[in-house]
Amino acid sequence: MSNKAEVIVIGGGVIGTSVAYYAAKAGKRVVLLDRGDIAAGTSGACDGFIIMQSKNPGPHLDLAMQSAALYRTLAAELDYDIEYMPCGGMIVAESEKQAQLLQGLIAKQKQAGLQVELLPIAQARQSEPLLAADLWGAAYCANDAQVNPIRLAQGFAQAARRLGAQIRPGVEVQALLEENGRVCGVKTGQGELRADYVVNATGVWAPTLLSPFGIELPIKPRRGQILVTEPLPPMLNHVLLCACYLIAKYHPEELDPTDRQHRLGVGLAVEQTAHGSLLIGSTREFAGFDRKTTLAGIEAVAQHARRILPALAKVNIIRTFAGLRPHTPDGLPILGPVEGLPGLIMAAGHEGDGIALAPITGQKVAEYLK
Amino acid sequence: MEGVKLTGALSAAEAASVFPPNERAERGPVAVIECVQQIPCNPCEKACPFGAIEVGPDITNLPRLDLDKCQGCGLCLSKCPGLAIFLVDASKSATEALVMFPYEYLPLPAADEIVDGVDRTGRFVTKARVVKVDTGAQREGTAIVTLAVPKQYMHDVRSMRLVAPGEVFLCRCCEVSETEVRQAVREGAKTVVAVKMRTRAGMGLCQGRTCRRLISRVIAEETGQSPADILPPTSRAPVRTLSLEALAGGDDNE
Repeated sequence: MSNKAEVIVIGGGVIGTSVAYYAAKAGKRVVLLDRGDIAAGTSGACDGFIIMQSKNPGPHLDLAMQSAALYRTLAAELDYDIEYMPCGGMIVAESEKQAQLLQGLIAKQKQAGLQVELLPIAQARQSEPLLAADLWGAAYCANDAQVNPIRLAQGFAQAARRLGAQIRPGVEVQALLEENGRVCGVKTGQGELRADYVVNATGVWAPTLLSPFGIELPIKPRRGQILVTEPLPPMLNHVLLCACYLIAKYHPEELDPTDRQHRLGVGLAVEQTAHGSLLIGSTREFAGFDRKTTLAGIEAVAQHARRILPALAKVNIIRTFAGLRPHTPDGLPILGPVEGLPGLIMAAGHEGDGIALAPITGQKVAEYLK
Repeated sequence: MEGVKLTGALSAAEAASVFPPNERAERGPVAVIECVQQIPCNPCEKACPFGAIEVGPDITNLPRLDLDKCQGCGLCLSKCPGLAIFLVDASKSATEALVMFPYEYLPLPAADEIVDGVDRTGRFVTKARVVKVDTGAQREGTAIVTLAVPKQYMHDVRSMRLVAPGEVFLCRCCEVSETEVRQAVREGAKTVVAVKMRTRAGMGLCQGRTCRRLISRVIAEETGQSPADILPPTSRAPVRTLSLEALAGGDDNE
């Protein structure tokens, strides 16, 4: 292999492949390295939500809305079916209290230019008939969508390769190389590789490469367990979240530690994939790097799904899986140059927003690589 | 249990009743109208530019073919809504006959490809060579395939099945073919999970119980390893499919 590139991207998930694509599109000579394979980590073990109304108004929502705009033409641009569906989304409120929480968020989102509507349950059920009749209602946003994350990463990787990028799975980066205070490349199991810029897009594994420099990245793996149903005829019209998801994400202090569902951070997230299976999630637990599913986690997710969508009681579950979301304390990803370590660009820590933010992350990070 | 009414396919006696005398087929191409049920249908009558097919004013009549007027042009094949008309030609060689039939499956075969010639019920009869695949505009979307078969089978072969390796499905749940799996391995997928990520093989109802060994074998063949060295896929609960409410610990949870 050539041992000099302009940009080395570490990590072949949706973020790394997106960075590789946008950097290659900007004319950079890019090498992407992954110790495993494309989408072998978190991007191959998550759902495909591109949901706007779960984002906090401010930079978080602004980025998400720019990303949503990129998604509309992305499949054509990549010349790859990423199974993008602009289906709209609902966040379900079980109670008046949850509805008030949504109402507060919606008011701020409207100011930021996102149209979200709070629908009483009778109205919500007109377009999503499987919702339980005794829920309070749902917030509806037409801009929410879904995508297949595995195909997204593969589409980015293939398009980057067509633009001249080298995509190299099976190459593990062991350390960052530093010269005169600047990151100048990486040490891999197959030798050293030098570049003007190194992008760290290794998600939950990102802190490891920085600790030798005395930098402790505040990224922690948060496990999400998801159930997969048998392929079913079309039965959901939107991607669905429930307000518990937002509470677990933004107001963990509101959770009741004596309640198992709260303790596991269960908030419903349901989508029907292009192949008919429903993905039903998810827990939000700190369990280290353990990617196994647990009986307690599966049971809690199933109970919550049955509460929100009683019609799913009889559907068959064929698999469960778990992925590690890169959690940060403020809920925002860590993007851009690292103070005191020029040459290194961060693109990690998206937690549950990696799919929604993947295109804009790649585009913004590519702008740093001048 | 025999006959089109009971099985959907003509019995031997029914087929013999509509087949023209062998001498006629030896003289040149001729239509074989395998229509033995009196149903209200007559597009074949208008389809023939030579007036060789007659149904008459009562459209439930069975069509009658004038063997002398029939020129073997085959235009009627595309007009029969029941795909019941064929063309047989035994004049081209001493040993082979040509059989033409409508074929509405994809992928289409290619000329000179060797395929399985099958009978009216889909059973294998003989290996056959594809002579022509006609997808012209006058065929209105239904391809007409011409096969060369040993003459003794011209009464039996009425369709075909591809035998290309690409048609072997390794993953039956997600319909992933052997060709697709080999392609994925050549593009760098060296484990069962990597093949799954690229092709969906193993993501279906059986969760790889049927295909994982077959896929391991293909990876081993392609990479020169022993199948025992190929990493198995990750196993996850449930071992068998379970309803959501059973997982939730509901009333039906026995």
